[in-house]
Amino acid sequence: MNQKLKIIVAVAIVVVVAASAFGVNYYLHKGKLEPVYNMKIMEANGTVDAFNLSTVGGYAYFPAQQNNTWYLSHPLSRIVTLIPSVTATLYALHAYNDVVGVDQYSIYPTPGKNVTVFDLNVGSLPIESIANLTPDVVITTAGGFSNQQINQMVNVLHIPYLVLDPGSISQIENQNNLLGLLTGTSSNAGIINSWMNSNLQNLSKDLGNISAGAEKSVFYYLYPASGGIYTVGPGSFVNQELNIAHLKNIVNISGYPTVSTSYVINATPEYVLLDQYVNQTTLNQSLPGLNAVKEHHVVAVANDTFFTEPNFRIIYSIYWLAQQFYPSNVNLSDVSSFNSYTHLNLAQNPETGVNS
Amino acid sequence: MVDAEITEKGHRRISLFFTKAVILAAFLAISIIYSTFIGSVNIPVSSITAIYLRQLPFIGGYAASGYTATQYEIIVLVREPEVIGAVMVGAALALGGTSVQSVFRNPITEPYIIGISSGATLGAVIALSTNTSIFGAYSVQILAFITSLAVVLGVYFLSFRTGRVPPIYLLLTGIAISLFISAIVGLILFSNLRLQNETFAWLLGSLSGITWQELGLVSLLVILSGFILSTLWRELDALQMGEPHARSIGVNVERTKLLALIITTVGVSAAVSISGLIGFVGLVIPHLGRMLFGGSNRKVIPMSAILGGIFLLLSDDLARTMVHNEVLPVGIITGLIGVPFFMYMLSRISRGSYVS
Repeated sequence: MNQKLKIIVAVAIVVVVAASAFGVNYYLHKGKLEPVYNMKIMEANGTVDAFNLSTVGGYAYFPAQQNNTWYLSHPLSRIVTLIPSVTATLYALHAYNDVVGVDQYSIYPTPGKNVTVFDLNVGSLPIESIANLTPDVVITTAGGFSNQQINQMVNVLHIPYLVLDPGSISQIENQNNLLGLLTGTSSNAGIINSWMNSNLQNLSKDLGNISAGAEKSVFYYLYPASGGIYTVGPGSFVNQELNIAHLKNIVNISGYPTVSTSYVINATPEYVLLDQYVNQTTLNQSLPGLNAVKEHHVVAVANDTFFTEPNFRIIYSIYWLAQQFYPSNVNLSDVSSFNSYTHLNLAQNPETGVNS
Repeated sequence: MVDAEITEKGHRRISLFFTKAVILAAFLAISIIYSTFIGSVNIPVSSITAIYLRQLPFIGGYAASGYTATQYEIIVLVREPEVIGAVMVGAALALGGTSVQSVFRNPITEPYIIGISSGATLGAVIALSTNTSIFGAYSVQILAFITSLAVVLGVYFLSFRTGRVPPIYLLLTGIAISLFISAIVGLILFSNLRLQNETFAWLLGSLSGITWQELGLVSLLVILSGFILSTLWRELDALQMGEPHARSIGVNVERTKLLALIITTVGVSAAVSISGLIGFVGLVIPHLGRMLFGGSNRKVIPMSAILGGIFLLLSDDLARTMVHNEVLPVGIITGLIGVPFFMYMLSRISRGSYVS
């Protein structure tokens, strides 16, 4: 055997031994971090409800699940929610008393004195502070945190980790139902869904005379990104908001793509919908040749939390959009009063801030 | 008379070395204990002491209580593995730096330069982008480890020139391959926005989320690699004097280089797989070791390991406490401390008061 071959063999042995050691360690300890999609929730009256988390674009990591199912025999009473949309929904459901911790972006409702506010860093969970709250569950969105930390939370500290990522109006309504089941407030979830559907039906009637050919085309400028502009496309719930408001999104790349400026110019949108964190100067610099910019066909979003947080408050953003583009058909005040319709009597009005 | 003087000087030197070593070891022990007392959750000293006593073998069962189950979990399952992880990762990086600087005879090299960091990042990004669970909860770490080894081996074999691996080729190939892999990682990240958060956390380095399970094996690999490198001190000393000198005193240069690099790669890759990329420890700490203990690897290798452990542990303490209720990535802290120290060291070199 020549010298080079000897070295290769020796090195290969070292690699195999080291990789095997890791593999053996895994199989000995059976460490798992597999998403669970099925839940079985027992209500107070003894009824067992099955729920498939994929209907809310979500999944869960749950320690020691059986048959890939998370069994829950009692309503959750200590919830850490790291998504503003879920925090707002829990408030509307009258389950905010069960919330013990929120992220810094959960500003509706204003966090109470007994609620810990976590300043989340990119990719990092404040595990120690979360563990200190002894939560029944941590609810968050997909892809935000390191697997290593999630593993520690689920498999070492035994805290269930629920990911909710609704991508459509129907999934938002399913999210309401799920959170209602988890907190024992299912009837309130039904009322909120009814309020949403009632308003959507009314809007559909108000915009009924706008034909497909008369719909205005828009480009939603979320923010400048490396290599282009970050925006929304088909498959996102924001895109669905645009469609319901009878607006045509010029982007046909699914999800939340980054598109080049030439892509936007080539698609010739009639209007640019400008997110609140992008100013006119940035727009002028990014898309100087775009007709919509030259003609000042720019609509600035006043408060994008209504647009980008998937919960019941998107009804206000859809009406706001429709009012901006079809003012003779729709007015924001056409939305039926949440408190009057649902009798949930929220102390903090869910509509506040949509215009500012 | 002269012999007696030399012997006395030698004894004094050995005694001074042991004194310094004992002081360092004691400082490390104190740092470990101190580090478990600090964190984002305030736990009374009496409770932490009781938890420590509870963990003692045989007599732990008789230890007084005075702590809650949550406090026990935070100390034993969150803080202790992070603290020991910091020591192990710091030691591995410092050992790697000492070894690589000797092999390359270059004071500005660190273990990452031969492709460990880019290889590990590639593995982590592949695991995250494919969402693989081939190795269960530790898929990211294990793939990072394996690709790191594979990339270093690739660099080594690409540097082969007529039966030899000239250090300059190894260095340049390492840089080139690292840049090439960085481009691949960039491409993967650009096509998947959601990965950017998790990968960002990986690139900044973090000790949060380390579990006892993964720490056991990583510690074994780090301690083993440290032990083997310690036995190579004579050969590494000879390499520091130049390859012709090493050959002239009977050192098998190629075999020593290969062995040192393999052992370094195994130790550092194992450490990086659980911590992400933590910079400057591998570059700066070996120099600190040489400043305190002279140029010989006999002392520098073990002392650098202790210094690396202390440095990363204290950096992690800063990361955990600098901002209330937040944990900064430790890589930021090591960079902030490491760069000024490196500049100071350069000024010492330029004044001739320190020769690496």
